[in-house]
Amino acid sequence: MTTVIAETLPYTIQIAFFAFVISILLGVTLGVISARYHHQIADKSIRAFYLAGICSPSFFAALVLLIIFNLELHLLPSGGAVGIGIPAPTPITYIPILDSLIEGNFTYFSSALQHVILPSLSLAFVNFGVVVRVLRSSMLDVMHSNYIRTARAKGLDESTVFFKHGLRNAMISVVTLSSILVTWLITGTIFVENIFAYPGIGQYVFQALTTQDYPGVMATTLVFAVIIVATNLVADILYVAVDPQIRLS
Amino acid sequence: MSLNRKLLTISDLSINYQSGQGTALAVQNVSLNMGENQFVAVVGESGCGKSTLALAIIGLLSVPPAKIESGTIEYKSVDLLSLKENDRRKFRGTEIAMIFQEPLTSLNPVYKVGDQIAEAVMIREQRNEHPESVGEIGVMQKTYSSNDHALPSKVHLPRFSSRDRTPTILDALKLVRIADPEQVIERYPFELSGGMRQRVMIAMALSQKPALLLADEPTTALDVTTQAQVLKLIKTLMSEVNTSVLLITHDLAVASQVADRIIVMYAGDLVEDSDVYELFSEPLHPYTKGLLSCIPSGSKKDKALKPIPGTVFDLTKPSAGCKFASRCSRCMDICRAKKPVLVETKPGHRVACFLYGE
Amino acid sequence: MSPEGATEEDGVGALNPPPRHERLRVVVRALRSNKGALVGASIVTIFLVTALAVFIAGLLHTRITPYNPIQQDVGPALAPPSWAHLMGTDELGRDVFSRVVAATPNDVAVSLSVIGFSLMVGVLVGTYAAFHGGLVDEALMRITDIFFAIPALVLAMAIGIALGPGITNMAIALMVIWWPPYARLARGEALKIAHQNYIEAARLSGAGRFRTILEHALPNVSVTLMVYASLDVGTVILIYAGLSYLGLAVRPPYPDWGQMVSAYQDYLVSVPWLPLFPGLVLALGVVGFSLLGDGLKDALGGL
Repeated sequence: MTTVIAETLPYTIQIAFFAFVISILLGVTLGVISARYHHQIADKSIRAFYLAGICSPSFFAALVLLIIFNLELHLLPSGGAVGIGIPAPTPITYIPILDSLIEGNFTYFSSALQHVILPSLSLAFVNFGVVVRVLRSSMLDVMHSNYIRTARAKGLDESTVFFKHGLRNAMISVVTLSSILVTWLITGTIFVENIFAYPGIGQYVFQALTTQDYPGVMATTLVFAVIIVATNLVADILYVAVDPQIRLS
Repeated sequence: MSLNRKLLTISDLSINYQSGQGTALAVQNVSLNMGENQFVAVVGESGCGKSTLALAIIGLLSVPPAKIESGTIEYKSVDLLSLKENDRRKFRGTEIAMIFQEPLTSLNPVYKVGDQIAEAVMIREQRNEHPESVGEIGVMQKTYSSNDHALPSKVHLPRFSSRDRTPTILDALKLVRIADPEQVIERYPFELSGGMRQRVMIAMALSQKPALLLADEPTTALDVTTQAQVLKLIKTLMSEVNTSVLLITHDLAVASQVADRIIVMYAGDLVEDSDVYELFSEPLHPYTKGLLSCIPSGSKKDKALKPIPGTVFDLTKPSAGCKFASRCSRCMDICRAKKPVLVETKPGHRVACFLYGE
Repeated sequence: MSPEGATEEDGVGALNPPPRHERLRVVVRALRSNKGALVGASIVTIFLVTALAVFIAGLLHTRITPYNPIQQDVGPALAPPSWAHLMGTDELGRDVFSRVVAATPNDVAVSLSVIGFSLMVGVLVGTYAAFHGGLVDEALMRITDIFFAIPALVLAMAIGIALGPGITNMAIALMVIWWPPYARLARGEALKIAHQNYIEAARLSGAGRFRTILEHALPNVSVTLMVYASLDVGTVILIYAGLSYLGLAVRPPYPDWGQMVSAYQDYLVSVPWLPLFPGLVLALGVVGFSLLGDGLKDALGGL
């Protein structure tokens, strides 16, 4: 059991990492635009876009992306963690993509990157909407605070007020969201890894289910749950670092 | 000290607020002057328009609900209302500064106090370094060339870290009589007491060396002892830093302790404007008299406080006559028919009341 | 003493809930003006009507679908969409459109029953916990904390596997894990109004504790919960679809959207539309409920 986890977990971490980064970048950018132009066309279009995302099952989004980018456009590979025949990097951190980067093994790195994009994008597409919603709402609240009025009274230009004072405070709500976001992303790998034949833990759980190896599934599910709770804790610790009020009280 | 040089001239200013309940005439035809090194208090009940007036001066009115219907605000001979927002902004902080009622929520919770003051100082430094040489602002420069308040152009964000500015920041905190400024600059706003936070706000505002400081009920959220301390501080600083202060307050007693001049507002109208001693010895407007009799004092120990009868005027309902008419003990027929205009009964004492002429 | 007619003079306080029919009118008016809500409502209506129709047809041993959903070879295998087969046929020659339509009651029934159950149990447990405090309250908080850290899918999987696959077992598994947030929400709302004057007044008038809660607290508590529930239906559909995809719900030959996507996935390269149809219908259903839920939230926000 532990060997299986050791072999598959790094790949799930890879997907979860990229999915997280994309979700946050996309979510924050669109959230900021939505807040800045709230109730205008940009806001409404962004809402339509992320609504399509959060209402899609992750396996559906994955299939759509697969069809578009692999079958139609032939831009990205359809499965696996890396191209066939490319030598693996030496295990340093035990996370292949990271190891190849450290080592300078760019053949592996670029291939691995190409293989991780679609699965990560599928997960991100289905989850980024929550980030947009939370950030938009938080930004709108924050921009009505008294300290924003003070910042303007000091003579700061509006974009400094918006980003340095406004966004910095609004981001706290995104940080709180992060731990939940990561758990959703990791959960989603059960579906996405299967569709992209990505050798992570999610795919292992899926295989166990289809072979109806239910005791195996129970064990894996428990491990899965533990990993998720652990990620939650890590994220909560990070939250403390970001909000000075929590840190000092 | 040039008492005749007008720092701020407001002429016939009217501001409306649009709301679900209709249009509220928040400020109606208000005119006033302020010179350098003056401490003026604008006194009135909540909703009388005093905060709106202050926000209009610094240009922080939320313009969708609010609207400046007419009038001018002249600061150092520049018509502020005719400026584009970008130019208007250049007067904020380094020319006209403002401190607000709730110091906790008025300071950004995620930045240290020192960093927030550093930001203010940085703006001051930038504007010193890039004075505009053309346009209206340039005209001002020529008129006031001897003074310290250089006027800004584009504000570039420099790469200086706040460490370069530490001496300036520490000076600012010492100015507001904070005992251990080195400690305080490392603190976050929530770690300080209400009084300390307000001192920090004052320090931050004054570090930009404004010629005019607007203080909107700065002590209302503080306990009584701290209130007195902060007010005394503002008064002392006024002369130390060569800044005029416009204090907004509902508390006439508080205003009388620190102000040189008192302006009384009621329901958007300016009803009386006079030197503080004169106001207390010879109040003219019935509303002012009412306010004075509301002040509890030792000499009135056994007497009941006399509140002003009636309720506050509804700003959404227009009135033909004097807005105070329904509550006034000296109300005459003409008061209900026509609005009184401001007359100067003595030099330096204006009042809007039919008891004192048309 | 009825708090609905009480006024300031009675000392009861101005915090009386407005009469129920008045609120309904306001809500309906607000919903009608919200375009998104109207779209959502139409989609939801289509789904509900279809589900009901399929179900009743089943009871009457007839069908409303053009073909028998489990009958093979009604057309050539893997045929593209055509007028005869609106969504084409699958690898066994079954009409995909009929299968998709026939699967509607599954998701609808599961989501509505899970939400319905959660509402009922949640409101009862939550308001009880709010008014009685003590052990029940503590236990509720602990349970919700535990359930919060672990995602619904994983929990449902664990319970579902233990119970064995099948749609009823999945529904049960979902019900078990779904009600705690409702109870927590109900508890929060109940606490807010527990001290409001009209509750005190009702209690003083001699009403029993639980009766007080039910009569006076429920209307207000329900509003928040209804908003939450309407937005939640979509989530249940997605989780159930996930369980179905994993093969834990309805098994072939009977149709179920998630399971169909999983089965048809293998033919993606040659017939890409095949797995997309059930997936699209799933997404559409969730969109419908989400839009309606958002509209309801906006409409009720005014209260």
